[in-house]
Amino acid sequence: MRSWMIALPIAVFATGCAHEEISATELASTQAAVRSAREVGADRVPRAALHLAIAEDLVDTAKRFSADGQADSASAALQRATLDAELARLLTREEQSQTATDTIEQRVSTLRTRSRGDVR
Amino acid sequence: MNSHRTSAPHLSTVGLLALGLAACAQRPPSAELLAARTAYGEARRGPAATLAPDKLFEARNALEKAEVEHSRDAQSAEERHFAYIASRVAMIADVYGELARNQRKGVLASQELDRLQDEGRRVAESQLASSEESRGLVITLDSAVLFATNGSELLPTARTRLDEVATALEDLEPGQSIVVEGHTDAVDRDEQNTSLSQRRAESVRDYLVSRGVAQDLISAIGRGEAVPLADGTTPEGRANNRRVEIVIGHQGGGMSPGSGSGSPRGGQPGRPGGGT
Repeated sequence: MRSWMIALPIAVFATGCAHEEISATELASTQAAVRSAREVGADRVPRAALHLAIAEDLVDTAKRFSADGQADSASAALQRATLDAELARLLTREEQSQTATDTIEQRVSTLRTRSRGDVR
Repeated sequence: MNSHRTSAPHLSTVGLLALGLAACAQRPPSAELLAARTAYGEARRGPAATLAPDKLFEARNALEKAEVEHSRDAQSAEERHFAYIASRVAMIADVYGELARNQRKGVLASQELDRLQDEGRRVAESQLASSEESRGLVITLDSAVLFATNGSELLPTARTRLDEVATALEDLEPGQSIVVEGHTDAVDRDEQNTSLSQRRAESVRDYLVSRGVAQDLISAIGRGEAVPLADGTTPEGRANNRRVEIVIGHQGGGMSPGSGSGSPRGGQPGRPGGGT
């Protein structure tokens, strides 16, 4: 269902370039972005997982367009997929960075409390 | 006439085109464009404005492209596509801003943590009664702070003190080893005191190991009443004798735990009545 919602506007976007396929380089580049997002753990961070799933759907959509010879639509889908994958990767990094900072701040808070003698 | 016949349709075509353009200009933006505008607005109001201005600039360019498509052909597939791109670029800019802010916070927190840890180490070192002896650096802890009477389980307060010791021991040089010595006063039988001091030394050793002190570098020994510090005939003297000593051996040098065993290292030992 989500795939078709994504695919429809792209299909309308470029219908004039039939019988062409996307380049292997373009596809590989997007797939690398998706893989990179998955490797940092995007599937385990809810906000990032959503964009990772969208990116993966868009890659599938691009392949279908390409198989149908609609290279422009396929290329547009890959462009979107790359950005969603990049967003997923960055959201994961942000979450991890936030967690690390929170941990340090918690330790700082504990040490401050202890140094004031509030905790025996 | 011909020219009239051809110009009439021509005019009507122009009129329709103009009407179409006017209608187009009045059509609202697509949902994608609205989302892109919102995403850009959020990014501009966030930390990206100051911490990731280059990314925000990219987002603005992407949004302008979508706006151009909107003014050209509102709600067209092109508008929706470029608006989608613009919204993602804006969201990416926003995350870059948040990341940069987090990194700054992390660096500041780390610096503060280092400062507090250094301070804690200094305080720990100054608060702990320690002395440099021939057998090494000796940290002396009052048993009353560590254990209940006749008990060998650490009191909650003991953990705080031992945490400070563990922090101080983080700076241990390679080759240095630690001996935890338990000492009692001379109340009760010698065997009981030795057994109690051994259990207490082991409790302290085990806790320090749990806090990161290498297990193979630390040992525990119970000296019972054999090595008093003070005159055991007074309550104060007996209190001083009930203690745990943490002896940090000299670097590369062998330790002689218990050197001086059996003889007091201050005051006159005695065997009065009282608590252990």
